[in-house]
Amino acid sequence: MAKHHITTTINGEEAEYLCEPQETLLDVLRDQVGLTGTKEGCSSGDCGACSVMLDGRLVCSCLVLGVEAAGKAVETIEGMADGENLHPLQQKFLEEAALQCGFCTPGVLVAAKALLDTNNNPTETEVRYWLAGNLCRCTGYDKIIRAVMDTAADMRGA
Amino acid sequence: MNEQPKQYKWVGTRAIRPDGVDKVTGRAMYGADLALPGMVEGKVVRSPHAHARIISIDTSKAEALKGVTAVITAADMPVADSKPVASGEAMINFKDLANNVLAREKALYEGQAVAAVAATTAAIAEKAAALVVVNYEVLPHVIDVMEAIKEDAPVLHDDMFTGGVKPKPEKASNVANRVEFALGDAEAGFAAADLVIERKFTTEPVHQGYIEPHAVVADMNPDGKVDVFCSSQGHFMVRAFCSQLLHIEMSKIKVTAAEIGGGFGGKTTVYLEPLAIMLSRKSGRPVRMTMSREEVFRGSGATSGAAMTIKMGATKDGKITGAYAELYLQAGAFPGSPVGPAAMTAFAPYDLDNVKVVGFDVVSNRQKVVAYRAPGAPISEYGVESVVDELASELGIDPIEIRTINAAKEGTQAAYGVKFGTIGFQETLDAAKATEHFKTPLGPNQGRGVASGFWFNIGGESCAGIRVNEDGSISLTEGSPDIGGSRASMALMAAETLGVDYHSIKPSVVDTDAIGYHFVTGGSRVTFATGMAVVEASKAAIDELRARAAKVWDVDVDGVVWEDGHAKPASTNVGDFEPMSLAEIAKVANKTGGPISGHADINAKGAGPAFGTHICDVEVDPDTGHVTVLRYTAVQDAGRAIHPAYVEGQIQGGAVQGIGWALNEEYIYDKNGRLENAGFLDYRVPVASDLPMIDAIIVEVPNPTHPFGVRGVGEVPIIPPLAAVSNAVAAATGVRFNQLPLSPPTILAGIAASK
Amino acid sequence: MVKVTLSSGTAQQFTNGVTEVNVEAKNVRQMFKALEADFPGLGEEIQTSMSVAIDGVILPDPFLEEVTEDSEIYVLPKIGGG
Ligand code: FES
Ligand code: FES
Repeated sequence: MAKHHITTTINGEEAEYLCEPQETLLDVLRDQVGLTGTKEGCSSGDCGACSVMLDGRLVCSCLVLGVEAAGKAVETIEGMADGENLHPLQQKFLEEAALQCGFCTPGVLVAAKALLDTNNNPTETEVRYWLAGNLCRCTGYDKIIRAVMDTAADMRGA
Repeated sequence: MNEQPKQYKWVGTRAIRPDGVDKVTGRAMYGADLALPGMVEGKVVRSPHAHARIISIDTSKAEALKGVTAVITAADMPVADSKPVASGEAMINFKDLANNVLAREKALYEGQAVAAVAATTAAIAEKAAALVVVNYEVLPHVIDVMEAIKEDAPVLHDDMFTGGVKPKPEKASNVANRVEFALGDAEAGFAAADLVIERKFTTEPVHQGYIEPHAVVADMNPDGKVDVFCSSQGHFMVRAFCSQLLHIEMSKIKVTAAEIGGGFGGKTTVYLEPLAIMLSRKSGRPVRMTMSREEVFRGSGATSGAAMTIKMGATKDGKITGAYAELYLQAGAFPGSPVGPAAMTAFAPYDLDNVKVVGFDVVSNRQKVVAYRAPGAPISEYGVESVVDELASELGIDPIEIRTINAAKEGTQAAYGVKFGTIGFQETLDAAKATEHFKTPLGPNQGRGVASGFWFNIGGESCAGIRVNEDGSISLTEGSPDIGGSRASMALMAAETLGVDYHSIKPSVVDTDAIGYHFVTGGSRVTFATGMAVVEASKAAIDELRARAAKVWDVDVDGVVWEDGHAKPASTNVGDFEPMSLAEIAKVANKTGGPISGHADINAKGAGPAFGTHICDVEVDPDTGHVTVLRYTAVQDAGRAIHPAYVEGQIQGGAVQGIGWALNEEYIYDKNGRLENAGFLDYRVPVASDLPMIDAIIVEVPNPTHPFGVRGVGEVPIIPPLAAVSNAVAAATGVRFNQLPLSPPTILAGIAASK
Repeated sequence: MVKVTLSSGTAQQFTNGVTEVNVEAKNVRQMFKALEADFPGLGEEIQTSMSVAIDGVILPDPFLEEVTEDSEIYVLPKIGGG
């Protein structure tokens, strides 16, 4: 099968990869590009562990083809911190123990950032519905929701 | 017991976990994240039938496919004896385990592995798996537990005769085992009661639902040495099981614990690991295997579903006089449901004179049951806590009050025999009663439910090493895979004991070559048992540090004490020496005898039983049957919360798993015994928008056998929600359902029938 | 003599339903031997597949522990956990 040569931007840097037409962006990121921070929990769009940003839109990378990323900007968990400096959400998740096993965490963080980027004053209900596509089996969501709301409050205050 | 808790510097703080940054930045390596040079991908061929004899397997087409490096079937695996072997605390029948890993004569459930392939890409492996031709003779199957015990039910194992009964039955059946516990005379207890309530309950099997599917990378050298990297709740368990199944010496197998994306008991056994080793041996290359979510549902996990009868009697003033339970727990395809613990925990929260519990372990054509948080306890305690609630409401007694009247306390003999030491059940009831939640009025169609739960907690083998580095920092090694922040707790306990800064300690979960045997991360044992090992290793290091200071000062070691991270002269008689810090002693270690360390290898005893009491408010929509959880409070005795935030997290997470069990989760089979909802879309675990905040309240009644009073936390919180939710639904609707899950159709049918 | 209490289920299998048995033993290993001698199969069964609780503490692998007339000894199934 002929592989496609894709040029794209990943976390702000130009990137190239070869991928088969049916390969998902998730598989490409994990296996070709070596960015394993994006997780696979279901590969059917039901768990959100694979959440990434594609041209500023929150997507499940398991439902996007690798070829679709051509010419677009992909942002993954690996690009969330600014060098040594964690994003406020990452910092808050650590401080408030909003992760246990941590497997859902990359997806949750990417999704939560997408929310706060457009709405820095979400209600608890808004956060709960926004993150309804990100399954977490460990935390019962309590500390995740609090951490997102507290980060929003900090960002508003700052 | 009312002594003030000791003031600790580190224990009880909410320190940032040492593995945290890796996990929020995507660096942490989980089971599927490792790629080795030359690695090939493995895939499992699974049975499409619920019950079928395997007539033949033709692998030739698969083997001929370009890119395929190996194909294996049960013929490639040594035949195991059918004899239970003590493996850790569990009794493992390796013949059953071998069959579950790779079916030999019969496939006993849809999704059971029958062959596996490895190929240069996952896509080729998938294609090759489809080319393996398995010839089946389809047999009649049975899914439901009560169907499986019928006289004419299809028998799964023709060599299985009910154990625990005398004389041994003459006919093979699906009842693997019978257990019984009795205290006093239950019948006499019922005769003394003013009110006796007897109910039948059913619960559905549920999956642990960890978000990370099973994953492993195995690499076998031509000289027979094996490296395994995998996500499990016990890399020593993986080593032991693979060694037994594949007849490879333990010393040749090195297992490294990947970061684990949830387990909840579901990763206390092996599925892919032995296959990956066999495929690597045949391929001569490293093999990676990962399950898809569908495979996770079809081929792994699940706790028992159950049918049970609970009968309890009480006097007018709420004293329970007699109790009886009959429990039928599904084991899945092979014996081994948690019916023992289910029977032992059923009435454990209560001080009863007359109790009888009978339990049956029943096989049927579904996945082999594996542990799920407090295995067995949520099931039996759901039935009991429902009847206690009904007794309370019939007698007009407050639900917390009736539990208080009957609560087990220090010295109470549990139905399973043992007398409790210091326990904190009453304290959880008091704390629940004192909440603002419990007093808040409810609106129309709303109801409040209360339920309690008990779990033993366990100890077991753990080891720890403390190495004092040349600069005075500490490397802490242990071998309990960290699922929920246990490395932080270990470092906190070491910091407290050594008297050094938490941040100077780096805890690591090391591989099976680097430390002694650990029992799995499960049973709420890690903070207790591995914590105990860490404290003992720290103390051993302190003894060595004191000895070194004594050498520097040229005094007897007895003259040196350890305080606040410093060696100090025990008295002015010893001499006038400036205290030496750990770092100062480390700096001169080479002059005083070489590197400094402390180690402990223990089998921890004296785990402290734990109790919890939950309050749940729901609103039931009478038109749709939909249940909304409005408010939830979970109180639990943790003994001592080493890291309160992670204790709360365990309580909240466990409570939500219990809510899912109560409201949504179930397996749906078609008439051929095939699972119809093998995905997160149709097997619905709770999502963020389903839930309110979960108020976790930690009560601390220290466990006297642990240096810091730890009891263990992870199991208890999943127990009370089943009945708390169901009691709340009963209060909201006036109907008792006595079956889970409380899905909208069930609720609507129940409401309609009551009219 | 030490008193060993069996669950009613275990008793039905090994001791004709007697749940309390007395044996001469100073420690657990002697207790296992004595139980095996009096009720063939029982000592073995407990050692390989059960736990023993002594004075309220559940021991998955009891062997060396001392027991006295005052010890409260119960034989239980093994307990694992999730
Ligand atoms: S892996 Fe993409 S949504 Fe689950
Ligand atoms: S922290 Fe484990 S799944 Fe969310």
